[in-house]
Amino acid sequence: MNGLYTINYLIFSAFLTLFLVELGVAITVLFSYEKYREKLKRYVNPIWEVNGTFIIFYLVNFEATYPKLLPIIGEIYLVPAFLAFFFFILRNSFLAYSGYQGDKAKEHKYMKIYSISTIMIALFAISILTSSVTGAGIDLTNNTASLVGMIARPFNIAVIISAILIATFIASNYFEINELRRYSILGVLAAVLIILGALYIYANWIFINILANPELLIVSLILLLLAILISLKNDRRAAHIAMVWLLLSINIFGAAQYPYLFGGSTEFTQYLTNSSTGYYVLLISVVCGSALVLAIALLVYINYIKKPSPLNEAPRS
Amino acid sequence: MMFDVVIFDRFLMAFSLAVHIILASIGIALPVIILIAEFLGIRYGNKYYTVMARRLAIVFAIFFAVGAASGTLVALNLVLLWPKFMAIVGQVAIIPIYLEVFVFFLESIFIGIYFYSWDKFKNKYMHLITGIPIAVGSVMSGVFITMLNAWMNTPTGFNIATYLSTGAITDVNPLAVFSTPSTFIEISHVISAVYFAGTFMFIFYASFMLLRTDKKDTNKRKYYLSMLKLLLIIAIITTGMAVYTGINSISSLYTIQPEKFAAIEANLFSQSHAPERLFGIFQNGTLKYYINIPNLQSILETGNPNSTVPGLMSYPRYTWPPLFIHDLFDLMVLFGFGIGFLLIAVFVLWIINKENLENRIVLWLLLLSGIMAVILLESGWVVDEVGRQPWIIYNVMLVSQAANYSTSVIPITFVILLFYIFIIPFTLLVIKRIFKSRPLEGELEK
Repeated sequence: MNGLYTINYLIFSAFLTLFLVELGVAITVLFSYEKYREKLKRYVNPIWEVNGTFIIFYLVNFEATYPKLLPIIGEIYLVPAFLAFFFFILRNSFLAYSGYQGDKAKEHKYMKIYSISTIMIALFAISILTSSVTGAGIDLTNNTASLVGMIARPFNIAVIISAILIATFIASNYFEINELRRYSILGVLAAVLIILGALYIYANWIFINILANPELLIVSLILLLLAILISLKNDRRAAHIAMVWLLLSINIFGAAQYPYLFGGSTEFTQYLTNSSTGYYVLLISVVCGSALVLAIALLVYINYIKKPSPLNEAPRS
Repeated sequence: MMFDVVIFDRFLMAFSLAVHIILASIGIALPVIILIAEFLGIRYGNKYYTVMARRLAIVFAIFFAVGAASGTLVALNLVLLWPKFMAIVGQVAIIPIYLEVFVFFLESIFIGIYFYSWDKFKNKYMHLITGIPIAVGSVMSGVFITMLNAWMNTPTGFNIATYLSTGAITDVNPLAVFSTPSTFIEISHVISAVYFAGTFMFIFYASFMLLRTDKKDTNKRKYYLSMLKLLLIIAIITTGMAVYTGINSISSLYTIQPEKFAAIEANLFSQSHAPERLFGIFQNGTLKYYINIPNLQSILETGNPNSTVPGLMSYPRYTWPPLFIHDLFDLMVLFGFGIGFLLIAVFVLWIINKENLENRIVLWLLLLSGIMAVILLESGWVVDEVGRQPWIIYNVMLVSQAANYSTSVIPITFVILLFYIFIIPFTLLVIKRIFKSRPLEGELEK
């Protein structure tokens, strides 16, 4: 597989994993904010900006990897991409506004707007993703697209429902929402079946490619099983394993999709950048990517592991 | 119809950038202000600076959120509104943009550390250190983005002749974008200008709050006075840098973008002993009602009154930028000098008597300078961008060649426009409410 494609897809999978965890936060906010407020805030406060930055990280890496694809993307995904970013600004703004509110009622109101915006971003982003996989809702001859045609497709609806179910499973375990936990186990199993079923019917070539390399699929299923078993014991580590499972599964999907785009009508490799630029993109991805991993590790250590110093004052929100 | 769509593309891009440039200036200047305040607070045990760092950090966190979203929108605009332009950038000049994402990412991570770890360190300097990558990341973001802009003004790194004749991109050197003829000049001016403008936005705030605060409220006044003093010292440095780099910047146009230079100076014809024409109005192809200073333009550009400066008539008419940039540039210079002299005057008054800084006239003038600084920043950006028209990549690609002609842009433009009109005032309102719920007096007493 092409190195640039791999890097691009790895970034995408990391972004999607983090975003689906945040989608779980958004769902929990709507489900029961007051009860889980502290846990939700503790998770989302230090990480939401990192998640947001992942979007632009992926976008720029895409520009660097597939510059020749941009004229097509720019025309066919103009409307859903702008709509997604419209909600992205709302998400950013209202989450930031809510962070320093003294007034609890206002904070809750702002968090609801954040939550709905995040769900809307998921709706449009997933629609773009599924359309780029299957070619649904787009006409490559004239470079036009139908937003309704992209969204109201069975494959897209199946992926959106599955994403919500998976996000709920992770959130219910991570934030220890016991009312949801049992149902979410059924939900995540349903999500896997829905995705595989949808692939079988609407993107059969991907389904066949997944089965052609069963090793990773088996690892992925074992991870899922492990997450479910741990979840049954009400252990929040189930969420961590589910995140690893999700990351791996997205990459299995990416590998199975390669090298086709838009339902197999074209290939990624046709749009790759030149070798000189590609070399530096790869080099920077590896070197700077490693630095970012270290910085994220530091973030996790300081915010989620390190205890406050007793010499200092009480923490602020 | 096609022409109309390009207007919408232009308008949406210009509007997004006009808003973003203000947020970016705050995003670049504020971390430095916060870190200096935090340092002074720790070093001298000064509660005013400690509280200042914490309160400004809240402002920064909110502006960063909105600014990051608006920056993402600008990045998206580039792909969606100018896809053919980005197709070239992606192959030739993407490396600085890619590096920018990494530093922006690093900045985001350290924001996640800095803003939520005030109480996590025994040694308070450790917390201060976690803020340094934010300041470095924000300025490096500006540096990398400006590199792309410099490349648009002076493109290099591929075979332009082959591209113009065949459309093929060949002989690519992706690192050439780091050292175009205008890279250093542009970076030095843009960065000093955003520090300058960002600082003055907070001078506006500190002056405004001092004007509003009762004289009896000594604690509060001391807080805003401390802020104003700190900002004035930063402003003196950044103003000096912005003026110096600005002069270099305009001088460089003389050779690297002669049409832009000629339009800024209102030179229709190449000539020696060129006068400096200040302001004026173009009527029927000639400049009228202007102030004329003989020989000054030639002297400023080369030091020699005999030297010849370029004129627009030497270039095809379709490559002329809109001529209103002449007046805009003059306004910018006028405001720049106005702020510079005001700063010197305030500084002298401050040295003479410390209490002069609380004089209401001085405060009103400083408040005014904050507004002027924003106008100056926007004018400078308009002069640079409009001055390159009709090119998106100078002498390589026209704006009209790069544009997206999808009519979907039209409703999107209105939605984004309305949205920004709502989001900026709302952000300010939320910050006001937040500070109302966290009274300064209470934080100073802690």
